[in-house]
Amino acid sequence: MQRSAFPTLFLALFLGACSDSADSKGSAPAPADPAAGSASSTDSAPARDPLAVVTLENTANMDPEVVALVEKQVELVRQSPADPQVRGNLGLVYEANTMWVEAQATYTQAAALCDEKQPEAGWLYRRAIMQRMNGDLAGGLETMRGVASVFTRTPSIQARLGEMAFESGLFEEAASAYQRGADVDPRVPHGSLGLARVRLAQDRPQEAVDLILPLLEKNPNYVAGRFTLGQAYRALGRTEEAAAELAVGVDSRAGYPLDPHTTQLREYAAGFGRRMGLVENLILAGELTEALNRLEKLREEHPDKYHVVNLMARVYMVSGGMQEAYQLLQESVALDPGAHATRTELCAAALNTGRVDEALVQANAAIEIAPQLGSSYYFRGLVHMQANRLQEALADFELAEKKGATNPELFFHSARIYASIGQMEGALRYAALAAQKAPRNYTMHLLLAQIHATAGNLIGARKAFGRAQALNPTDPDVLQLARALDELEGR
Amino acid sequence: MSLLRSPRVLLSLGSILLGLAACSSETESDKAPASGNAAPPSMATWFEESAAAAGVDFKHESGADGEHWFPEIMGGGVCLFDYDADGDLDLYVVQSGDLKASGAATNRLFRNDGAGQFDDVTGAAGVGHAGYGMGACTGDYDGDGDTDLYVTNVGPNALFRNEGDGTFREVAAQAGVDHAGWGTSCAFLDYDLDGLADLFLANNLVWSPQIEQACFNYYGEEDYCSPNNYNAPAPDVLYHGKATGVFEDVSAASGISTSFGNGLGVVVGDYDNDGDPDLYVANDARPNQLWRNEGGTKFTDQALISGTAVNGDGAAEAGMGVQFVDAENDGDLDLFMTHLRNESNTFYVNQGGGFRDMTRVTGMLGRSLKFTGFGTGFADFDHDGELDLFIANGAVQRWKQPFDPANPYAEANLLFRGMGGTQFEEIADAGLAAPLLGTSRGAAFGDLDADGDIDVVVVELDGDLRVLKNVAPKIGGWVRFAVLDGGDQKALGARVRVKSSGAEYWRVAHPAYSYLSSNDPGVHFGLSTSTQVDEVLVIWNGGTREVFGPFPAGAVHELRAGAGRAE
Repeated sequence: MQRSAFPTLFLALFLGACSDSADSKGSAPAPADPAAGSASSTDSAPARDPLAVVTLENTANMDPEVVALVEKQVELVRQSPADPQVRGNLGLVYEANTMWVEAQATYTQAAALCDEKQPEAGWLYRRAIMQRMNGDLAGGLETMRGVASVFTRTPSIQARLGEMAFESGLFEEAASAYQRGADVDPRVPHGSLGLARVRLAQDRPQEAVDLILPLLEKNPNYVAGRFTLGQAYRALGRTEEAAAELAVGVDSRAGYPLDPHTTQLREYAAGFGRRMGLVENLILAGELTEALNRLEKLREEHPDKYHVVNLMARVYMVSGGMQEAYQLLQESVALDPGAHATRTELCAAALNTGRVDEALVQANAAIEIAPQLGSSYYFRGLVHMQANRLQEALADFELAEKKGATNPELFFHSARIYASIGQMEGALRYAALAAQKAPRNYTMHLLLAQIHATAGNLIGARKAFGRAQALNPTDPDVLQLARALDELEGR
Repeated sequence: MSLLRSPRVLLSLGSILLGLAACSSETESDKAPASGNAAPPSMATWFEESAAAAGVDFKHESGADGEHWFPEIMGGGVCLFDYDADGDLDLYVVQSGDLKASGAATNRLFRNDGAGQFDDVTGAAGVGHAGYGMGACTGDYDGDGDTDLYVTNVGPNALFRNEGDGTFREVAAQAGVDHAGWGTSCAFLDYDLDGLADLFLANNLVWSPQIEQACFNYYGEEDYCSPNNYNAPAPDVLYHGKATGVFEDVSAASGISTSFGNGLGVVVGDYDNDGDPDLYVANDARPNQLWRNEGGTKFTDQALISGTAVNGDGAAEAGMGVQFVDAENDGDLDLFMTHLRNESNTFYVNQGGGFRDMTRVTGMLGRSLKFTGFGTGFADFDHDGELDLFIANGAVQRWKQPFDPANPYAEANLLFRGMGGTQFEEIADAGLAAPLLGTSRGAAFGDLDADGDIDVVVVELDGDLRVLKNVAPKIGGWVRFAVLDGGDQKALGARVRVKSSGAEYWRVAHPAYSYLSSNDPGVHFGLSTSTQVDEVLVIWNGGTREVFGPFPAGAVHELRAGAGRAE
């Protein structure tokens, strides 16, 4: 997700969602919400009291942490029932914990508590999102139109309006919203991307290309843009270019520009599963210290859950702390000796700390636990590879493939072994598979290029190299291969 | 927009760097909101639930006991086929059972008396299979003129050879098709045009109880996982049928094994109009495959470049039920697929060189967001000349505000009336007099009571099978064709074009579509106000074209290969 340059004024308005001004005058009405006071239980007051606080029923099976957070916020609402900010915060708690019906109803109440001096658009914005999440696209669109008419210069709102209009088949309205977002802040890619997608739907692929290429010049790894570019190329009959772009962009999600509630929503995300997911995202984003802090807290609260320990080990492995990772994973095995994932991860950690024999023990344990899983054999293959038992490694890799393993690393290592023993046909096959399975990983394309070059196929090498270069043009290995290819081609 | 089914809990370190690893058409104008989801219009009743009246008493059992083992939430399927060759559609229902113990519950076969009344003949026919069942498909694998039955399971699959005397014999092991994974949908086809049935098997996960894990729903309660939590997609299988009645696994040689996901749905059709049958596999939460038949020996996955691997926004969706259909009646096959709650059901329109996701302009997107779609089928239920669409829905995770307090997975089904081309309009309560909730999975389509219209059978997870008798007010007449590809074999993939009073209608003759289910292998047409068919064109598997007719409306006719005239 791209960081938005959010207008300061809007930020202030949004965080205190009720305020007396906006970047465009006018206010959206606060329509009655069918979810309010009906979809969830409301306490004390008459059942139809539209402002009766939305509470949870039947929490017996829910994560106690989530329940406690909700109850705490509900109590605050009870103490200040007329305060739209407090009410809206309860909505954020519900939304952050994917309780969208409760969130929608609560946002409706928060908006209704705002008065003439306090436009309710901030809470209606969230309500519109919840309406869509609850399956009410038409209602969400209507609400978002009202909000967008107030906040005309806010990229996140225009992007959301654009998407809802686009989903509704209203292409021109979607295009206008996306265009407004792009005009306000061209650094936020969602406007141009959305507009390009609308143009594609309108059979105007060249316009889509013209909109996307500048985005990709700034950020070649903007994969959602790459996918749309591929679609546009396909529509233009540029099939080969289309195939390459689509492969890089497949299964991408454009997401949304950050908005002023993003931080609060993250903070309110509670419960074991959700917090683990958040940690995973932090690791992916490289925020390892924060991830570790959160994991330490999770471990205190859930000392019996091996998943936490495994994730801690992952943080250490990513940051190079292989010894710490190894020790943690041994503790994890003690928590649940039958956990397949722990065995394979401990195998990797043992390899990374030079404990090849121990790695083999763990790989065999993984195979014993889940003999039908290809990944079990992949890890044993890695052990053999490390021990330079290349034929055994290849045999296990082939078994892994036969049992359905599809991780690109499997093919990558197979290719390397085949290349090392001079069997270029096998090397080529597996390098191509690796590049196919991980089209966004430049190292896969680089290996394929190297193998092509070694086999004397300079055209193939140049093609694969082009893909690696497009993904990471400044990488030293990429630059080195560029020089080597130039030399081979006599340049 | 799409959300993960649940937060991920288990994390694999498989991708962590090791020391030795180097890799550290139509343009929509802004007319009316096409996808509005306001309350649907009140319409006349189109279907009546009539399972009990028809003598069908099947209750599906998943064996769910609170541990949330993934296969429990995915079954089961249903088959409509004429096992006894008496001219009507019989009913075979796949039972799941219990993953932890071999239970008494079995699959069941109900024989049709020709008027839509059914008798349980499971025991006499010898098809009371007790594996943990998922789906089934039909075809004449041994070329003896009767229809055989392949059943997919969590565990070894079963092939029931029709003995031609009202009984079956289970021969999967002898035939080499007793695959022991988690089979889902399957389809017989003749991909190499040798006149012998081949078999495609979609598989879901490499599953065992050992890979089960704790997952949570939106409310933080333990619930079923997403398939991606397991990261163990199972390869699909292509079997080549031989004259000896034995199949050979050609998955690797044909290229099918090079790409796969969590397979759930499969359809057969000649999407590129080159005369040979292609395959499409709908995967759960992973990119789909469109297998282009490269002359009968190889398949190449064209999904990505054709625009059918993921939706128009680039996102892999939870593909469940699927159908090839010529919704535009323009002579090429479009593709419709059902998906998870908050994903749209997706409509890929064939534009000659590839497909385009046209979901946004169908009028169906908004209404599908609240539901998780499984079985699905297009048919002209009201005989107005336009294809309508039925979608069987049921959740895969509990919802805190359930549609049915007694069943948190229950949802309503959807029915859309065709308005021409790719435009649809919802019929309230799926055409029933009152809402009917359930956890619907497989759905099969065919005329059960010989009254000329298409009825629907729906499997309800842990619920009673539903027989939805078509009582829709009819706009016009109908005609139905049995499409026979030489001898008495049902044609697998023939395309049929009917010309009637200046209008053209296209259908595909293949029983494998929807979800885990098999349907009437013939083709049915509503004819609007026309009383006869002027001409029928059949494009047989292989590309041969023959013309038949004229035919009167209101009857079932045969289209037999070789009996027509050159176009």
